[in-house]
Amino acid sequence: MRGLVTSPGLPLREALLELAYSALREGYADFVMVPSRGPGDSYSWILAGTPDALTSAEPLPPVMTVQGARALSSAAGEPSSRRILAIMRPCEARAAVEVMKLRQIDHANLTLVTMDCPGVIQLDLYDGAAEPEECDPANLRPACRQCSEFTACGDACIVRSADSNLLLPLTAKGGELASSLGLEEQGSLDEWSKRTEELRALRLGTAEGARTELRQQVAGIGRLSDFFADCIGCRACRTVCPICYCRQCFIDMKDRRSPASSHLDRSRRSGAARLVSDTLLFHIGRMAHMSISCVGCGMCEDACPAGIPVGRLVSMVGAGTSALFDYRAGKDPEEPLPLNTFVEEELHEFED
Amino acid sequence: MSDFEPRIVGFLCNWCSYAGADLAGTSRLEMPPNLVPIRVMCSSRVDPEMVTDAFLRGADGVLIAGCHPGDCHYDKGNYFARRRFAVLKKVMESLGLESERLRLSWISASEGVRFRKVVEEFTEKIRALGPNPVSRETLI
Amino acid sequence: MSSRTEATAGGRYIRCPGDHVEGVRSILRQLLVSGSVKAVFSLRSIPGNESFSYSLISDPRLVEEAVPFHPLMPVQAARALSQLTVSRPLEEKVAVIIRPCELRAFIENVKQSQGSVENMFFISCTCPGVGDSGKASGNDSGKSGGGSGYRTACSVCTDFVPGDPADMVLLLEADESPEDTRILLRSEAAASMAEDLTGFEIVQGPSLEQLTRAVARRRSLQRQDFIEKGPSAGSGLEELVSLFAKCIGCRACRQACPLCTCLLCDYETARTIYPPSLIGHEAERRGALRVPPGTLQFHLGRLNHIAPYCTGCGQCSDACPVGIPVADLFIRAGSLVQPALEYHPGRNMEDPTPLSTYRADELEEITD
Repeated sequence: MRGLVTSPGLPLREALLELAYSALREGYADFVMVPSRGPGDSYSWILAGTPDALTSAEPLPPVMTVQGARALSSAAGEPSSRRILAIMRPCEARAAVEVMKLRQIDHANLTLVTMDCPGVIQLDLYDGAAEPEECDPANLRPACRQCSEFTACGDACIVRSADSNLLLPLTAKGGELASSLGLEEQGSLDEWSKRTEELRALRLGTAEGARTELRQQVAGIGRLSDFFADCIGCRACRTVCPICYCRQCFIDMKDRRSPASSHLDRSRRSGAARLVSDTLLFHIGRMAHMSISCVGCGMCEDACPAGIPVGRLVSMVGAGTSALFDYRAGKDPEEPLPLNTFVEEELHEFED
Repeated sequence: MSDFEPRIVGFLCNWCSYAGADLAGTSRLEMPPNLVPIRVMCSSRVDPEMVTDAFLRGADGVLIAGCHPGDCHYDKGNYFARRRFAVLKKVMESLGLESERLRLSWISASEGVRFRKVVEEFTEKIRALGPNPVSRETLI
Repeated sequence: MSSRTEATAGGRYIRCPGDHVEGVRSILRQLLVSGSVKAVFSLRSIPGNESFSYSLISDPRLVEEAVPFHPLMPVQAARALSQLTVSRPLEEKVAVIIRPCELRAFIENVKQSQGSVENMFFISCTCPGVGDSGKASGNDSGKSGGGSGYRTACSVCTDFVPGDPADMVLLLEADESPEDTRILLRSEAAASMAEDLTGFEIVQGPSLEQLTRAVARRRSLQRQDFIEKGPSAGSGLEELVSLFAKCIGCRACRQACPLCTCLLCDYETARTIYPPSLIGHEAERRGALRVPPGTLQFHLGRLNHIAPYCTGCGQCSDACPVGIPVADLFIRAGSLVQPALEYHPGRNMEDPTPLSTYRADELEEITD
């Protein structure tokens, strides 16, 4: 891997901003999609068509209000001649790759640029005071604290190595971006590689420990039911998930409605039955549908008004489902989705 | 802003108001060119969301025009349209949005002159209000 | 017997000493044991867990887990009842513990063919309100009657005395806090059920309205104040944009709303979602555009669809993970829309839903 020196002397945030400005100025892109600061310390994604529109752009906001892949699927959901450069976090770029495979994003005129990600603050711990580049590690999303894929995703990534900014072209498109910006001088990636490997090993350990613990916590239908006891059925987890793109979810289908008598029977069998009744069905069904593509961004957990650690559960389940096929969500746009393909000689261990 | 030309979206009922507009045209009545007519089969076809969509996309004014009460081609569509319009107006009012940019008028097929009058009046009113600030808003 | 005249002229109450929770449980137990009802719908404290949820209880021994009128609303009861009866009405009698705003919402559901009241026996209360739930405030397991910690929606609610559809009404919120359990018998069904209850005496008492005059006055002043100059007036485009700038588009407000019963919302359909080409066009015209767009269109649209029926329960605000006071906007819009249509949502089964009817000689002031 090579790293090309960019925006020397600037902090990472400024380097990303400069990239956004030059992409528009040099005509590399018609639009830049980037988070932007709004009224009341809010952050939204904007599609900016002119350098002027980047005045409030904030490529490293302290929070993730909308998963970038979700924003991208609205802006680039069908083929278009408009070229978009999106500056997003590694987990957002990985989700975007999954969404491309689900054919909800058209990749042809899209360039994804990521960065060394410092993580984001949990939405309900964000008081508007935190400056974009400083995130108190104690307030980070739990998903961020166990993230091991915090850099080098998308078409290109800007990383910090020994206090300089280096652009890593990761795909042919990334290479085109580098040459259109006139980046040629190579810098050393040694410091970055070492730091990244250390952090990755640490986070992998944290994640494994947390998953083992969680697996025990939810083992059995009773405990799983306890896990979701506070669920208010708001479906925010589904709506904010970049992978859950269906306009109408299986759980909302009319033919799933059961008559009152079946609820009464359920109540009679165990003395009492919970209403609404579809909490577990919804969550298990959702995980069966999307966990294999889960990139572990933690957006669902951040959106949960009841504070259920649903993101950690989905990502734990996803680790299991994707391991079956040795699949890594968001890694390679060319690799087919495991459920859209098969090989004849596989999975015999599931046959009896 | 002297060079401001209002853009007004007009939802016109096929049987009365659209025919009224047609009559105004064939009668060669002069009127402001600011109204973009959209033909609908009945004023009650206009879902409030069609109006809010036009409003949020930056229309400076939105006119809904239908048959006079009692004259609806479908008997009573315009009465329902009036109720829906009332809800929309009150919702806009409660939010402090400029509900005066919305107008409901009854114009029959024989009222070419009235059509011109409504368009003139509404255009002037919107001209006085100025451009819809929503059209510059990026966080819609 | 007309319940409306009864309400103003006073009525018959059943009374027992002690806490309302035990009083109501005792009724529920007796109804289950005698077979007058086959199940009880109530908030229930989930054993071994700090959580509360609505349950259908059919075993009388589990009635002790019921926490009738516990001041929390994890799910709006109308939503649960609609799920229960939308495909077919109940075939057996169920006693339903329900707050006034939940009952009104359910009546609206029924009018819109999203549920059925058949075989339901409603036990409601004069309502002090519920607290905020969710991660911001933590689950408060205190009993009702505490002075603070109620939803804004509750503190400005003037509709805290249930209307005609309630069969029994527990006196909970009153000018003078009742020391014992007092339950008004509103319907014939309630009166005949009461005859078989043991441990209660039947007494004559003043009407609920008479017992709650001071509360009604206080709430009405708070409501007026709130509508005129609430903290989040959301008045004008700029404030509205600013209010919803934080919106993460999770649609929890819609999903939590008992009146948003559409299986597929207008705002999820291809008809209303901006296609990428239009997004590009608008972004070019405005210089930039929020993606995904449609935040205001969604909230404005939902206001248009729901304001005529909104019962002001506050569930939407409670569900919002970023603390946008959504309900404030709905209560304010409702306070203008409902009087204009002369409609009082959920008060009775008879009034036709306002957008399915009209009068020839009305609303002339809004046409030009």
